[in-house]
Amino acid sequence: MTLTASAQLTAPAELCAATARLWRDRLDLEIKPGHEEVCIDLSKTRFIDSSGLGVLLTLNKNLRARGASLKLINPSSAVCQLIELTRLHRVFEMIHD
Amino acid sequence: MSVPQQQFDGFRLDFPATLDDARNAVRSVIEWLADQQILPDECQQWELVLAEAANNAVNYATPEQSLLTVRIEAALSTHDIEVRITDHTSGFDWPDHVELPEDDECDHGRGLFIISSLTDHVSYLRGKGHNVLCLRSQRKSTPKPQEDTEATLELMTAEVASCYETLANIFRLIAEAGNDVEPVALASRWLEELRELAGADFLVLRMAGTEAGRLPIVGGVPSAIAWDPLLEIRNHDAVETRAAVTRQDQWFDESTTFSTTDPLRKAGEHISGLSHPLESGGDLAGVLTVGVFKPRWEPSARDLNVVRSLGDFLGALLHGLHRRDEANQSRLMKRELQIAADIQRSLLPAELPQTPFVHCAAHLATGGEVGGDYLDAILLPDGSLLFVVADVMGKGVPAALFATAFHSLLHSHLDLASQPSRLMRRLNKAMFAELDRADMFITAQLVHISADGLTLQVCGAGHAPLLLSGGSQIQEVCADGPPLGVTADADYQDFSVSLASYTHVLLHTDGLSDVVSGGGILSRDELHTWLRGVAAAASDAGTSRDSLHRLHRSAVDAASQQDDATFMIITRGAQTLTANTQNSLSHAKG
Repeated sequence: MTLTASAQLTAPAELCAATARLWRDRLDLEIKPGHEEVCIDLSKTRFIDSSGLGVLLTLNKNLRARGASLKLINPSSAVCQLIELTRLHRVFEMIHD
Repeated sequence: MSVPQQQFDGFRLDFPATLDDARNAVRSVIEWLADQQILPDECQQWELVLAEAANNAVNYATPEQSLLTVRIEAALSTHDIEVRITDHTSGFDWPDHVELPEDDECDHGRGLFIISSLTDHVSYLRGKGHNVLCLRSQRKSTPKPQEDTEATLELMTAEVASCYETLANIFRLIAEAGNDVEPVALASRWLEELRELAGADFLVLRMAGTEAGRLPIVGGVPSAIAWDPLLEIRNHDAVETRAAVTRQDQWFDESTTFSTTDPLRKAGEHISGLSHPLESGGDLAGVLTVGVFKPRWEPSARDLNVVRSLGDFLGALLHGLHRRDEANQSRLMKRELQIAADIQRSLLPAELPQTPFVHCAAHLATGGEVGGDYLDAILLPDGSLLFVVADVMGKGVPAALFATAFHSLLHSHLDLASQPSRLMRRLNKAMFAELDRADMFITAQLVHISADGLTLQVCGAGHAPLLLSGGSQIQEVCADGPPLGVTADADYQDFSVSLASYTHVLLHTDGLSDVVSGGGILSRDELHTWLRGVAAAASDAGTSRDSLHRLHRSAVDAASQQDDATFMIITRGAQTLTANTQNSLSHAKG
């Protein structure tokens, strides 16, 4: 049995332009090169804007570049609506428990 | 961050060009929208749109431009939500077609797409150091009609004013009622006032209680209309009786079909209004009808309040006045009866005369009321005696007054006492006109006994027969003259009887035994048996009187009737006067 190195993080309640920088810094801090999988819990995120999406897209692109993956766990309805509006459901892997 | 300014009809806020201030500004707008009853889903969409727009206003600012504030304004119309964001950046060119980035994984370039997708209308006016982004979407929630505070206040003021007005009128009404005013006059005056106050054209007030099953009119305005004076409650087709029976307001207008017997038809064909039942202490006090000469009446709440409040109070007041009058009437009647009873009592001899040859005892009953029974026994100057028993038709004060007149006339014509028929004729002539006018009559029996007690003359005027007995036999002497007051020139006869073979004589009214019609309380046979018995036993007058009273009383009790018998026992002979005979007249109320 192979264990996959995984990072588990919980996104803030508001993932927007005002919080994007802080959130990006935290990701840089928490996610290690050895992590093959990063799981972001979005269940607590009630508001997300295009800047917040941009953070997730950058993370996704970086992880994929090194063969790792990003999973969005239990995104709230507000997050899901925006992801679908911007057709990013084709990009992100979303997991609903 | 600047303090929100709301100097225009909407929301306006100037904020520094930083991302944190932009975020807070957007939150403030959303809170305002939520306060304006915008649905949560709409607020959520606008939050995203405004976040994108505000971020752009901040992100495009140079360090110098970021020193200038960004203005965000939101306004609501009945159908739309409009938000304007004014910044002082160099701005940008709004693309003709806003699309998503070609590269799905591109981490920017979606803001304008989000704004365009979630709003119905976007316009971007780019100026020199002054750009305005105008966003508008149709409201998904229908705004609740705004309360017209001024109109509400006006209504409340009118209602309070009408309450005070009603109260003031009620106080006036109480004051007037305290002046012992006649109820009908009070009602008429107040109906006129109520017509003015309620802006009505006509009013009809009917009160219950005076006549069972009927609603007599107490007042109606205008008086030119010949309102029906009486309405039968069983007339269910009438609007007013429906109000009385159901105890609920009955509205009528041009669509109401009035029955042919409905009194409201008197008001005209195109009328409308309300019949309002009046209650007092849970009882129906009456019905007040208010209306206008128009096909439809739409009174204000204030008018209705005045009509109902004042109407209810007027009804209760009149009901109370009616009861007060009834109580006064009853007291007056009792007082009059008391006076009449006193008069009647004053007519009775204090003691019945007794002679060595003739003794008598009598009993007068009034059946609980002042009756028309009359009795008298008069010792005449020559030692003879006149005995009189009479019955004025009816009871109460009129009967007592005629008994008084009879008494006066009798005592002023005692010179005719030895000829009872002449005396009777005289009495009839003197009283005929008054009796005839009052549609009344008097039955009477006059008995004259000579001083030696051996001869009796009797004359009757429609009265019960005279009974005589010596112990073994009974003699009935029927009177054949008409009652006094029936015929002006009535003729009367004297019947002369020798008392040699009789010891006991009975005069009585038909309350004791209606021998003529057979309808009395004691039968003819019972009376005969009793008289024979007391004569055979040689009972004195007082003992005989008491014996007959007991007999009559037991019959009265058995039949649950009132004791209204008057009778007189005359005994002849040498009986010793007993204590009973000395107390020769008994007078009992039933």
